[in-house]
Order: sequence, then C-alpha cells, then structure tokens
Amino acid sequence: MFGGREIWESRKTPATAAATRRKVTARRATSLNTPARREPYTGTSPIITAPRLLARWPQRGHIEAYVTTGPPQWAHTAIDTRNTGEVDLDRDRWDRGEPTQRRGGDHNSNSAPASRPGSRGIVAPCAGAADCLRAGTADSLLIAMDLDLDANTEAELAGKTDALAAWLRAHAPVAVGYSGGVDSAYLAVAARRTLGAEGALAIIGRSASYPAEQWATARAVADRFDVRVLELDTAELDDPRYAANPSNRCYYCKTELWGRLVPVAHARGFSTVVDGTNADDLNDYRPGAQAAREHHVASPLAELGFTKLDIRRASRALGIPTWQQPSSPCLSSRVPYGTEVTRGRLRQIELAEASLRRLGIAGDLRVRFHDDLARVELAPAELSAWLAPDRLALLTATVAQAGFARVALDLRGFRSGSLNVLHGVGLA
Amino acid sequence: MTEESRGDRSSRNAVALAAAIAKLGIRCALEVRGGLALLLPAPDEVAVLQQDENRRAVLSLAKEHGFTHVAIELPSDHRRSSTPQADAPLLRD
Repeated sequence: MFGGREIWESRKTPATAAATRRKVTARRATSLNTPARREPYTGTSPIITAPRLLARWPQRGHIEAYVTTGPPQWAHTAIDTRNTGEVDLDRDRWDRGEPTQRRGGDHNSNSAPASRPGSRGIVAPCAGAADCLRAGTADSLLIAMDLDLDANTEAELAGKTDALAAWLRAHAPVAVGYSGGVDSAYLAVAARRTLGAEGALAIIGRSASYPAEQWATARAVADRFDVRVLELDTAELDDPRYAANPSNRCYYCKTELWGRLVPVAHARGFSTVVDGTNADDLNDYRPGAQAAREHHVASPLAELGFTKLDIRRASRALGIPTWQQPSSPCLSSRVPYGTEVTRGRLRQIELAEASLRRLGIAGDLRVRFHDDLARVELAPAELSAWLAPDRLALLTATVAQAGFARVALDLRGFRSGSLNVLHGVGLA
Repeated sequence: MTEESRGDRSSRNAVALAAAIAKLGIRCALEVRGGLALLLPAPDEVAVLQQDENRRAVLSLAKEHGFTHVAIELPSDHRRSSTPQADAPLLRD
C-alpha cells in the first residue's frame, strides 16, 4: 500500500540551496478515498500539490507537522523529538486506511514519543488523514519542513489577512454572529481592528445549547479586544423540529439564530452580517449553512480561503487566546440524531464536561449522550492516563454526578462528528 | 436501543468480537448498542487497555466485526460481582 519515494527540499535561492538541501525519505500511504499521486514534491508550492507540509516548533525538540494532500484534506500530527530517535508511522493503521473518511477540521494526533535516544517512536495516524506521509527520521522531517514551507505559509496567510481587511472595509459596518469559538473570535477581533469600535458589533445568541463556559470565553475575548457585544436570547429548543433532533437540526437552530440576529443588526445600522464559517467547513456536513444563505449572512473566512489552521495561526499572531482552543460545537451535537434534545439533557452534558475540565482534562472533550449512558471522548493524548483504573473511577464518578447512570470511556478518543459516523450521516 | 449505525448491521458479530478480544487475553463482558461495542472488563483488566497497542488491537478487532465505536465501562460493584471468565463472554444486546 505504501509507495516509497525520496523528497528533496531546498531553499529558493541558489546561494543557499546546496547548504540547505536535505534529503527526506518519505512514503505516502494511499487512502481509501484518495488515489496515490507520484508527482515530485518540490516543497515550493504554497498550497496546491500533494503532499503539503507545514511545520513550526513552539519549543525546542517539538514539532507539529501538518500533512495535506491539498485542501481540504489535511491532518495534524504532533511528533515529539526531544528524545530524538526514528519516528515511524504506525504502518498497520495506515495500511488499514484508518481513519480516512473525515475531511477538514482539526485533528489531534495519537502519538507516542521515542522513549530514549535511538529508540523508535510510534506516530499513529490522526483522525481525518486521507493521505499522509511516512517520515524517514524526525530530524529530516523537521529540517525539510522548516526551510520553505513555513515561509510560504506566512506569506500566504498575510495575503489572506490583507484580503479579509479589504473585504471588511468594503462591507462595513459589520455585525458578527459571535460564539467565542476559534473562528468567530478571530473574525470579531479582525473586524474590530479593521473597522474600529463603531464599525464592528459581535452578537451572541444565548440558549441552553450554548455552554456557559464558552459564553464566558466570548465575553473575555471581547473585553480584551474592545469588541462591542450584544446578546440575544434564542429559543431553538422551543421549535419541535429542532427538539426532535433530525440530522438537519442545525438548520432549525441557525434559522432561529439568524431570524433574530439579522433584523436586530440591520435595525442598528449594520447592513452586513457575517459568520465564522471557514473553508474547511465547506467540506463538512453543515445544514446550518443553508439558513445562513437564506438570511444573507456572509462567510468571509470561507470566501477568502481561510482554513481552520489559518485562523489559528492568525489568532495566535494577534494574541487571541482562542487560537489553541479546541473546536466547540453546540451541546446538542452530543445527542444522537433522533434522540430528543431537551434542556435537561443539555444541562447534564454541560455539567459533565465542565466537571471533567475541572479535573484537568485538556484538549478535545465530548460527553456523548446515549440515554442512560454517557460516552466520554478525550483527546488521544489524554486517553492512556485516564485508563488507569483509579483515574477511570474518578472520571466515572465525576460524570455520574451529572445524572448519568452509566459512564463509558471511548477507546479511540475524540472524533469530530463521531455521532455522524455512528449514525451514518455523511456529507450533504 | 435508539440507534442505527453506519454500515451493514448484519456484518456485526458481537459473539465473534467477544471471542477475539478474549483471545487477546482481555477478559470482559460485551454489550452492544448499535455500532457501539461496550466493553465491561474485569477490574484487573482495565489497565491493560492503557497500552496503545492493546487498545489498537481491540479497535481493530471491533472494526473487523462491524463496529464503529468501542468504549470501556468501569464495572460497578454490581457488575464486578458478575464478571465473566475469559472463556465466557457475557453478551447483551
């Protein structure tokens, strides 16, 4: 299943090319849904051809590799090279093509660092990988990714942020549908910086499906960046079409949200209403997007090609604390389609997740509702530690206090759209 | 059961999955909820699943037997008293 190949990486200037050229041995796995491609990898293309690698290392000895086959498919793998040895993908899992169905979005790695110099570490494929590469050594991978691609990406991102500023100026004043999530926080701050305090308004729709913790984050970001905020109550749970929890539940939620928010924005002189939909979202199952279109809500981030990764990087550059915040869909996303969404159930889920956060659980976290059973999904990096019997008992007791009779820990860990997989809901 | 899961339900084989997991040396009961295989291991088996390779093996087996999700439930005192032996997986559907 693997097609071996050598990748050569060089700087663009001839004077430095010889000194910086590095050889990276790489193999790409074919995926279930993407045919292997054999074209040479030059490392100079900012976006297009497969595979694209981006790297940055926030601290010595740690790199994050972003592997894509061109948008929108990409995967995120963190490789710890502090005890540099060889790193190798878990070939068995790649060979099984597992998992390969998810497209776009954020994906955490499932990695185990090499335990001592010279030992082999295992980097398991992250969720969402449709096509990836097999690295010969961590050092080579690190060097290869540093030389060109980071620079290209910075230039590319600067182009997008300039384009966003121009877009906002052309459509001012702008009201942002604001949740305090990664995307809308960036958009609200960008609008405030571009248009000034009077030119941007962030509007929060509050309901039982919106976690109080996220509301607090939203307010904190707005305060810090001097973004004007307006809050509206929404009542999607009073709509029986929403409460019945069909697979297009988000359509009814967004219909309620935009139906309330857009008239208020217009009445206050904000002719343009925008949301934080990004380019990755366009490849996911998002029935709420239809409601946005029906209410003439624009999505400049998606329109200008901002991926989730772009937004995280741009947020980090601006010092927006949400840059590393896990994705945070509404609480109803924890309830399987077809199971009624009620305020009580949402409260249970919210309590359970908040309690688990207080235990120190970081990264992606979901408490999935299965009637009497809560199924907890943790970031893969957290999983092993919480499978220790005493900690699992603590986790179980904590979630049970939220009113669940039974508590289970998912062995695979967090999967975005996990319930879609369980219930067979795919891309529209 | 309120769930319908992706894939061919007829390909799901809880009995075979329980047997395959037992062959790994992990003693557990198995409860099926649609595409979710819920493992109820003996108390002293939980730590085994801390190992990535053991977890991957279980996940792989579950996929082979038609399940999309696998979760582990810590046995309550009640369940602990009725924990099955390795060769006698408890199946509940």
